[in-house]
Amino acid sequence: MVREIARDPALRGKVIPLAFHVDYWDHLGWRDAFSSPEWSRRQMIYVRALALPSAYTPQMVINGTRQFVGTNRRAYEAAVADASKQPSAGTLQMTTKQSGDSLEATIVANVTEAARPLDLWLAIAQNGAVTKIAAGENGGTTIDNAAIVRKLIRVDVLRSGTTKKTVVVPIDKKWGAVTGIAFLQERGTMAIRCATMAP
Amino acid sequence: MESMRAGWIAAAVVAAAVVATTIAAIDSRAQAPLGPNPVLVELFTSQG
Repeated sequence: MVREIARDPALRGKVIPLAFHVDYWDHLGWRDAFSSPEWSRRQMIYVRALALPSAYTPQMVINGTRQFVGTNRRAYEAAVADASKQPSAGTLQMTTKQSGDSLEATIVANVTEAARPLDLWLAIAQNGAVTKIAAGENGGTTIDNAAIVRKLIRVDVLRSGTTKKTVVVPIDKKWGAVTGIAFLQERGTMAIRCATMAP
Repeated sequence: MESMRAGWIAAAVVAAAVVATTIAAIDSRAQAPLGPNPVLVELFTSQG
């Protein structure tokens, strides 16, 4: 479903997908080359914040507050429609320049309403990669991956007002074209209160 | 008698098609339009 979202021009900038490949299944015969313990830790933060009994895959989290099995299209459509109508904490604007082995992102955040501190995050996502799975549960299949999170950087912590930040992030040329995704996430509740992407 | 049976079958097929079209239309309407704010969708996944 993430692939569909990422490649649907009608949803571009409106629904922003991020695929975090967790590493806790890597011992079952196939090591996911995109996996990271950092992404497993992020999922565990959601497990605690959403009072879930445990982590599972595929799990979809919408704006940090609603979760369900990642193949549940009806739940996805309802949750996205609802989340898109919730008030945001302000505005985010971002421009990016990718050159060689780095991405420069300039983010302007204007926070108008925040009951709690907001973490300003910048994610770098590889737009696509095809993987032939040689072993494990999905052995013999080919997966067309999209929106693969490669980096996640906490840029700042904001409470109110306007902030401008420029960040230069080292990237691997092998990733090809990447997308920058900036978002404001409330501490404690994990609610995402504003998001944008570029290009 | 044969032509009557064929007629009933044709009518049943048309009725089934109408029901399917109506269900599809209702399903399509059930997808609520998006509001003004971008939504972040995080998928926790694994290839393994």
